[in-house]
Amino acid sequence: MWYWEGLSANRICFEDVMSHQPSFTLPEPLYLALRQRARQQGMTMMQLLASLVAEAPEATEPTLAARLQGLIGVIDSRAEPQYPSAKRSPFGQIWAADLEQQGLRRP
Amino acid sequence: VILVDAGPLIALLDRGQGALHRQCRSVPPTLSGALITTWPCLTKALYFLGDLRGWAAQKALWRLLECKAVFLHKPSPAESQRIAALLAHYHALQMDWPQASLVSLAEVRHLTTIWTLDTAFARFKIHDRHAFDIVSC
Repeated sequence: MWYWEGLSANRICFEDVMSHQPSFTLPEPLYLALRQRARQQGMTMMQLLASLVAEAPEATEPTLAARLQGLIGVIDSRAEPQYPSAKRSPFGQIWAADLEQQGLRRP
Repeated sequence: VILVDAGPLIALLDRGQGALHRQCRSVPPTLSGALITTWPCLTKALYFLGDLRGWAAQKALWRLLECKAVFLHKPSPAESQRIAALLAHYHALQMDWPQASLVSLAEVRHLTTIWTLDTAFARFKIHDRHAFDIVSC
């Protein structure tokens, strides 16, 4: 695929030579930062953008629900005996009272 | 990215929380972003889970971090100053350290959505102006 990067002032245009895809405009600081980064990495700006998109978490990483798979409900504070904690700190009791007000069952 | 408080993390892990657990477990499929919390919130949850089921429960919470289901924010010195300012500003509402840390994180990361069981967040404002979008169970 052939791309042409057209530059003028703060405008950067990415255009597919064959299909004439639309261009877009970047703010000056972002444009300059992108150009500098691309030069440092020996890439065109289009190549740099493409690589950034490829590395984007949304494109490659599992969803939140998938990450939580097997972790939800792994303990059961009702069915299992209460943890025999010998000493409960006042600090912990303060947090427990606060969380109880939010609807959680207190240890 | 969505802020998450201690309450939902505990309710997610502990099915002994009953209806609250069932309500919370239905939330993640509706969220499109990652979850992020703060050290104070993690501390609060660790204390509660430790008293509940000891290390086994605390380990389950750490697994949420290890699996990158929840990310932990590392605050800068400037954020400490903002947290102190928030505690002063909301002293009449008895804002505590975990609450202040989440408001500060929202400001630093430009986040507006929070998953919490704590109704106090309806009264806290981001940058003293903007209300939170609250996800509740």
